Amino acid sequence: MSSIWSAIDTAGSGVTVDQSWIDSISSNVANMNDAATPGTPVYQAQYLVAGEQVPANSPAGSALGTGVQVESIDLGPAQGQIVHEPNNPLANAQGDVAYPVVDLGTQMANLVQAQTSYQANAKVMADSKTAYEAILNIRA
Amino acid sequence: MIPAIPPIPSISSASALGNVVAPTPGSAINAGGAVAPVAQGSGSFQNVLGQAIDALNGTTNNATTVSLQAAAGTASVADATIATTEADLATQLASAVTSKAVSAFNSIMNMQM
Repeated sequence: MSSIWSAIDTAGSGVTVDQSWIDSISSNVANMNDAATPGTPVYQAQYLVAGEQVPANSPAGSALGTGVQVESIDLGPAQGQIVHEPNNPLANAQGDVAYPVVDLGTQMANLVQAQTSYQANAKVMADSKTAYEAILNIRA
Repeated sequence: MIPAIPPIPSISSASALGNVVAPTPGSAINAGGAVAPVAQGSGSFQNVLGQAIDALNGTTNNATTVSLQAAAGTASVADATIATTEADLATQLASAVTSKAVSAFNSIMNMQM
């Protein structure tokens, strides 16, 4: 979407990506204790890959950027981390259980980053609105 | 004699979102009684005002749609905020453009001959 209020749209794309980032962290934290029998599918942590939105019909760097977008979602290790829990009903013959590779400390640090980035984009949106209003309120 | 101001293009013609509708060609009667075409350049008052109103209509329609989607849970709150903010700015822009144009018209009309 392109409009005359491009700064608001650009900041809005940042807010949208940050929201997806927070959503992925939320999913990772919610699933960090999903145990599984080794060899069966285990939850893979989701990591967003963000990239610049390249304006249509112009090579990168030749025009003002129009925002950011989610390029792809990278996944954590498929085999998970093996923990020895013989009493777990999901344990295999060796008494091992697979857990998703999700480090809570890393996720919390990412959450703080995502929240700060969200606030920064919201601030850009609010300030660009103020700027647009300033030019509209000129009384000759 | 200054030609009469041509009619403003209909707002209802801009039901499609963001679709700028070309204004209908206007005409005016000059002092001699003959019909003279009004300039249709991109900078004419008719075009500027018509495009501003059409853009405003499309933006406010979009804001309404996205707000309803956000209330229904199918659009994000950020999208609704962006759409309503842009509608707010578009309203102010249309208002400013109209005020400036009317102000310019009044300046000409109040000229002392």
